[in-house]
Amino acid sequence: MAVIAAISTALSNAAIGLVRLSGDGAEKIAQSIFSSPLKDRTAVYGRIVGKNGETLDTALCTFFKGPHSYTGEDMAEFSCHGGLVVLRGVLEAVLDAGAVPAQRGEFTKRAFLNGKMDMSQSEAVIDIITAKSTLSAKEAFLQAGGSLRRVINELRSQLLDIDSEIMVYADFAAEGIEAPDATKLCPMIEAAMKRTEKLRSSYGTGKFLKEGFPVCLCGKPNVGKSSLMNRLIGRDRSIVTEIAGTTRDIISETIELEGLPIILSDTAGIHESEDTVEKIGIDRAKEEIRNSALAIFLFDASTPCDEDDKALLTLAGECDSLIVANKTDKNTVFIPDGAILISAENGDGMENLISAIKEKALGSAPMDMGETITNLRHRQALDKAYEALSRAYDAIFAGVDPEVAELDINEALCQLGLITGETVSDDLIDRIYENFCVGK
Amino acid sequence: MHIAVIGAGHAGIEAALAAARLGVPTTLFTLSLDGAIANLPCNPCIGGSAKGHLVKEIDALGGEMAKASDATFIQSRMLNRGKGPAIHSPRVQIDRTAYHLYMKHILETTDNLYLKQAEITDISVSDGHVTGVTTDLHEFYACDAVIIATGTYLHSQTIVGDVFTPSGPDGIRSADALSDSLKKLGIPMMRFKTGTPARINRRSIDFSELEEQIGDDPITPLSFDNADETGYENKVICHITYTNKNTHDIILKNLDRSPLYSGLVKGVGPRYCPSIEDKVVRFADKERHQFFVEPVALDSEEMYIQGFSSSMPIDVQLDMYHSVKGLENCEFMRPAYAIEYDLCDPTALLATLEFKNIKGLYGAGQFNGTSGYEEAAAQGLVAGINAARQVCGKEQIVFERSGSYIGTLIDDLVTKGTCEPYRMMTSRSEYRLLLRQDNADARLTPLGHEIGLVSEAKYQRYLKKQALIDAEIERVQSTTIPPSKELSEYLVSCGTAETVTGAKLSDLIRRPQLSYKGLAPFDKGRPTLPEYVCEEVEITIKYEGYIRRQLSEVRENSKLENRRLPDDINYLEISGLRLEARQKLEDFRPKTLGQASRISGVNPADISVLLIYLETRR
Repeated sequence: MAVIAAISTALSNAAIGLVRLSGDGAEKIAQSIFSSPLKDRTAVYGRIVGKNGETLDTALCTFFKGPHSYTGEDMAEFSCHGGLVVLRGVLEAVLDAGAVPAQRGEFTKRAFLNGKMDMSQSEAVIDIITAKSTLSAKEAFLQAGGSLRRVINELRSQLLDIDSEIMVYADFAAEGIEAPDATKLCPMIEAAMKRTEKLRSSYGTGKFLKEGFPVCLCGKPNVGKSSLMNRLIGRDRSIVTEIAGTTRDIISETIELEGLPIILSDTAGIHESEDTVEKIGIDRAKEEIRNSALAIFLFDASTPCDEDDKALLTLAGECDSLIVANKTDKNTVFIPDGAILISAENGDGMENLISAIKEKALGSAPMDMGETITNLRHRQALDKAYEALSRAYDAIFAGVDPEVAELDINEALCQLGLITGETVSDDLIDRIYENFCVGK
Repeated sequence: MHIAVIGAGHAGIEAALAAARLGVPTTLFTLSLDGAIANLPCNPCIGGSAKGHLVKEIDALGGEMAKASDATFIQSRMLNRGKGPAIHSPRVQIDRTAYHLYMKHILETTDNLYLKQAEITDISVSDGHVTGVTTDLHEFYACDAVIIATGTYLHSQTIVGDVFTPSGPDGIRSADALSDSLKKLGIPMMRFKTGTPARINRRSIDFSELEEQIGDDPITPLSFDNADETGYENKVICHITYTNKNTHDIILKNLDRSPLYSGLVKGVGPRYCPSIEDKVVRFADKERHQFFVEPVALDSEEMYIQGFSSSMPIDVQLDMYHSVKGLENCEFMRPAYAIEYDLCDPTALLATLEFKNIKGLYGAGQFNGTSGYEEAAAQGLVAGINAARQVCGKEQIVFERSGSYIGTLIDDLVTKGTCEPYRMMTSRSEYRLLLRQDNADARLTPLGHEIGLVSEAKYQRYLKKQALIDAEIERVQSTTIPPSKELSEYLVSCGTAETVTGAKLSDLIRRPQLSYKGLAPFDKGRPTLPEYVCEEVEITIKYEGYIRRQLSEVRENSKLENRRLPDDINYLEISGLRLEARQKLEDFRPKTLGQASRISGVNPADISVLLIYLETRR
């Protein structure tokens, strides 16, 4: 296969950037632009030289002889100084020397085709690439290490137990083996359903880890929403003014709170307004609450409770919310029940707020990171497995012959196989490759 | 035009009959006209779980096994009758002597078929095509196709304790030269082991100590041809008894004298019919093991002790048997023994049962790695059909997994291979709700008719049955049962909800607590129909949802299943494939992607590579 090359780190002005090559001949191409002799699995220091002999960068080059590499082919990696100009220059030099630009997901595709990983692993790798924070990367990495497979295989073996319980009497009829009845089978199926349910319901959490946990900030005008947002983000993002109703549009930002990605939206102040422009802003804020997993209701502790505050507390009671009292640095006259006390101005109480947000995002129970589903396809397969199991349960409970209801247990097994790639269909392969992105 | 079939066991018989009936002159060679034709050297029984399905399929295609069984059985039972219809399995106890004589006479009286007693010692091949066979008397028979159905006779030896005897079953000599000839032809050979229990004299058994097992009344015949026949009756009673602690102690104390445990026997035995030594060692916590005492023929006192096979020395065997209640004074007529034999690695075969590397050479039966008379007969039929079609220049027939147990059996054998004697099981089929014993005719008789093995009369009977079924299903689906006090009472008594508005008959049949038959008193317009029609109607309606789902699965899988792999693929050069997969695919040369996906050592990632490869070739 041709030697493919790509810039493998994000195209931003980071300190270090990576240019990667893979394929038969990667060694020759890498050597042709590098001043020092390459050594297998060793980072070598040298100069990257352009086609006119000019030095493009001083860098480290690590060579991996196939099959002991990520893709299973010969690979070379240049660790350059960051910066788009430098990285693009190095990539051009590599292409000039005979490499071709990698397609989206091609490194991982080659790794997959070379049998370096199974489907759940390669999908987890895509997740590593697109992970928005360190915690997500860890989750994806655990999956790449086969932790998802372990959990699925355990569930699978549980289902095989049930299946064999049923099929043994079908297959050894002459030996007078008793057919298992609903009292025996139903609890077994129920246990498997619980396990499947636990796994599939972890998708919410897993999805948040991957895509970010949506949180919106609500409150009356001028209670300090933008200040709090800026405090969480760590820089000025929203316009902070003394005039009520400055923030009319929803401003959102992805931030990282102790490894957890949070999509934070600042909404227009909510209060019963006659102003039509502001009315639209309030409607949009209410919509934003609906679209968020968590709403933070912010109150001004330095002003007395009014009708708007009461209406907001009612609204807070209707959704998943945190009640936060701001401006504790001032004279406090109003603390709603259960409120977290903060001062966006000087940062007091922020740790309490952050841990409360994290707890909401991750659920109150400590989570086994490996047993979290982050991929929609996995979720769909588990949903189908769950449906199949519940059909089997209902059928056996209603008195349908177990060997017929067994078809649904079998179906659940096939669905689990889809997660680890044990069953393959053309459509599935197409979809996976669509989702791959270039040089991780 | 000439076909030779080697071996007149269950595979060889079906092969020779099929080929001859399709008009090709066929010679069937057997080591012994008296002992080796349609012999039942192990259990004198035909059918059982999944095996019964095979017998019905053979019959639906125009084979002989079911008819011979109907003519010679001495006890008949439908296994799992109390359970769902999808796993009903017919099983009959056979009069071993009568079965042999029936089959021998059929062979003798079939046109185009020549039955000969001779040992085949060599198969000739020229330019990759089989050319003939040579007998031990140096006669050469030129042929266009040869079917090997040698059962357990290749290089066989029987084992009792430490006594090894070069012999096939029942004292018939082993065929050694042929095994060597096959090796020379480059056919990969393996060695398996199987075993059989003792036969004891009926007069030495105290039956008052044994549980009785009686046959069905009425009896369901095996052959679709006999579906309307009445007057079948059971002629014998079988018995059940158990081992006890004393038996187990004797076995454990003498384990070092078992050739299986001392390592003297190297062949691989089947997990599903373990010797009594295996059972006692592997299931140590079981207090007793059940076994059956079954007559082998009406005009014989020999009794077969099913579930008590062993290869212990004869003195230990006697102690073991004598420790059992009712068998204290039993007299051995033949001891239990193990047997080792040569066979081919079935992955060397195509799904047509022709060898991949030798045109015109086919394998069938235990020679291909199976166990059981029914599995053998099924393959014999397929090999016979395909050999005859090849000689006549017609296209080969591959039976699909989704259409029959026969197809499932052969696909398993040729794509996965086997490391123990392969037994058919219902759980081997992913389509078992579709592949029932009752609808084998609907699945296969049209094909059998097209091939030319199903007579016009049989075909017309099949059409008539289908018409009755279709009409009754339509009637049931459009019939509404009006509400009544009696109906409500009946529904409640069955443990299901009553109906105030009345209900569609088909909806009532679908309720697990109700049956087509049970609802008869409320179904005023019901015609009188044969039992087998009622059964089909009930299954079709009751399991409609499940059946529809399986059918859609078949359609879905057929996309992958029927994606043909071009003959000219060089797998060794597909760089994405793992090395093991390249080698396996190059060796097997699967015909379809579905087949490739079932080869062991080919994983889903490899199938993805093949899919991508096929895309890029387009």
